[in-house]
Amino acid sequence: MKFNPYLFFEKSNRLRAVLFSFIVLCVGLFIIDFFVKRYTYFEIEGLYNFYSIYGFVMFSIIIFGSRFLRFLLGRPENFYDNKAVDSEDYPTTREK
Amino acid sequence: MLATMPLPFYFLIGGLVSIFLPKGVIKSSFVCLVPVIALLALLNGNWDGGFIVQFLDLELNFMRVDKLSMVFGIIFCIAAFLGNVFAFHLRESTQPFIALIYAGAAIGAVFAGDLITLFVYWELTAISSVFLIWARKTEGAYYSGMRYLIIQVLSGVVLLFGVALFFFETGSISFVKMELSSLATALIFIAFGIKCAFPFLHNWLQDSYPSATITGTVILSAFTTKLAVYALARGFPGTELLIYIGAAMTVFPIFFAEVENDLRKVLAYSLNNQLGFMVVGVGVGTELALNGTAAHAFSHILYKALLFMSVGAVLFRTGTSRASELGGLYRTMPLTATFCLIGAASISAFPLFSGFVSKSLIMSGAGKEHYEIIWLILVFASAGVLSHSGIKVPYFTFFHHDSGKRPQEAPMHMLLAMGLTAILCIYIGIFPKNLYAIMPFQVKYEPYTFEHILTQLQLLCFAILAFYILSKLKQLPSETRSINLDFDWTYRVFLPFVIRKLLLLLASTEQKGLKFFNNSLHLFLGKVYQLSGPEGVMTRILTSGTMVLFIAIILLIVLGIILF
Repeated sequence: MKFNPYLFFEKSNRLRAVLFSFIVLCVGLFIIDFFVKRYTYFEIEGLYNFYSIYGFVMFSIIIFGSRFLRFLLGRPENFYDNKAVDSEDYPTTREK
Repeated sequence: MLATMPLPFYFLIGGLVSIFLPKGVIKSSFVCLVPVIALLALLNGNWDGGFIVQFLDLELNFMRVDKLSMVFGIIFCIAAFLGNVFAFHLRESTQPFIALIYAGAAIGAVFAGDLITLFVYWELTAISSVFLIWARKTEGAYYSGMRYLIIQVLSGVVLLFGVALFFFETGSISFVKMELSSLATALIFIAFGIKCAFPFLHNWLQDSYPSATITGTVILSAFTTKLAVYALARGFPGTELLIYIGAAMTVFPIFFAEVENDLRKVLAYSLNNQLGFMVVGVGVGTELALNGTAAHAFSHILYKALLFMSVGAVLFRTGTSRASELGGLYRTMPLTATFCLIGAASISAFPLFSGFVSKSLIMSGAGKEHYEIIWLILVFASAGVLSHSGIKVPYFTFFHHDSGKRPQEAPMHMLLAMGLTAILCIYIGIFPKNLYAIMPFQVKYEPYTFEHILTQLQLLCFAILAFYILSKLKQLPSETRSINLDFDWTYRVFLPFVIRKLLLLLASTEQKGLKFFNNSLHLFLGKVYQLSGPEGVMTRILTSGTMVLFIAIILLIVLGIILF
């Protein structure tokens, strides 16, 4: 591949610049909500920065919830043995 | 004649012809061409009268074309085309043939105007598609395909029972809106529910899609489940139960998707979650919500295919789709990475991508009908979609830590298929009016308002921020080679265990019973032998010598009495 735009971000200060601008964007989105009168279906939706907070909190719940799920239901890859493809390698010889 | 031929016949005939074509470019080109011809025939044909066939006393309609079936017909043709372009490299007979038959069956079911035709195509989708799993030709795929086939055929059998009862009750076989009020319609509902991966009926999806071939999964992802969504939208719009079923479907797969290691399984869970949105739309049942279901099915098929293609391309080049073994592939597969990101942005519903303009129809539909809890769940699920499909799939494949793998970029035909799909995702996102124009009802919805863009960006950006912070705190679930038990454990482990135990118990009881019977018999026969055997008291035969002795003794006694 001759041109690869992703390599541009390999230098850590460039990646840091992207991250910084992302955080600026988040702050901007947070502040701007104060000035916008939103049309809402429900009362809760109209709360200040409902979407930002809900997004942040729910994402965290998903992460911790899924870790708990793995704690309960996680099993080794060969749990179903030869009755499933979980632990087998994709047969690469054929399709090439 | 050709112009008025029912649409599925293009695929079925095309499939049969494809068997006789030489393997290679000719066959691959041909199977790509068939969906294009079918799409042109669909768009240019005059289908006003349908395609009526008299069968015994029944009137079957092979081509009921209205706005709802049209949407699904169009997207199925497009999906078949894109899937076949992606599979251009195949040099075998089975998969190209099956891809056409399967797509044809799904399209036939969509255009079926009556329940008998629906049943026939319903079963054909099951019987044909399983070969896309078996084409992997491994032991695991064989078992997985078997489970898939059993469940899919079961769905058809339940449907057949329902249809028979329905005919018995109403005297009609036409496939129209039904009320969920009798056993007949309940059976039909369950049959649709199995194919639609309702909670507890869903495991066939996560079991089979990761077991299929690279190209097979892309084909599989488009048809079966969306056919079921269509069938629900046709048969049970406005059934309130569907709202709650759909909401459950959007939530539980999120957690599984987050911790699954096989990225194709992650996408299968994600597919389940997306189906939930569509089912909610059907349940709400207003024009807005049904438009949302149709629009979301349309854009979903594209971005889901795109995601399966990009992970498939990685699997094709690296031989694995396990998150724990991938990472850092952006170095050598930048185009695939870009297409994957476009698919991820579309499914996460970023503005200017297709998910944004279709999912919001369903959300607004639920909002307008004042389903507050459901609406909150759907917003939660939107954050969940971002977590597994939006971030996890591209991040752990192409970025994250360097896996050391330096595979080649995907082959040209795969890039072409992904590129075309990506263009469609973006096109729909930027020009939603063109998608809205083919919806079943008139769309009076404007997705690009300032507040909609703002709220969506707030939701997504702060979810990403949470991801960033949690990854810095090392709180994300680690990528390890593991699986997670789901409801299928009950029929893959628990039920067989119970049945085996019961059989053993039965066998041991039988043995014990036999032993007791044997012993009693022995005892009884022994007694009989004792009494009536050769030495038995009852059957003792006295010899004549003994008799003489007896008589001699008696005579002696008599003599003694007389003499004394």
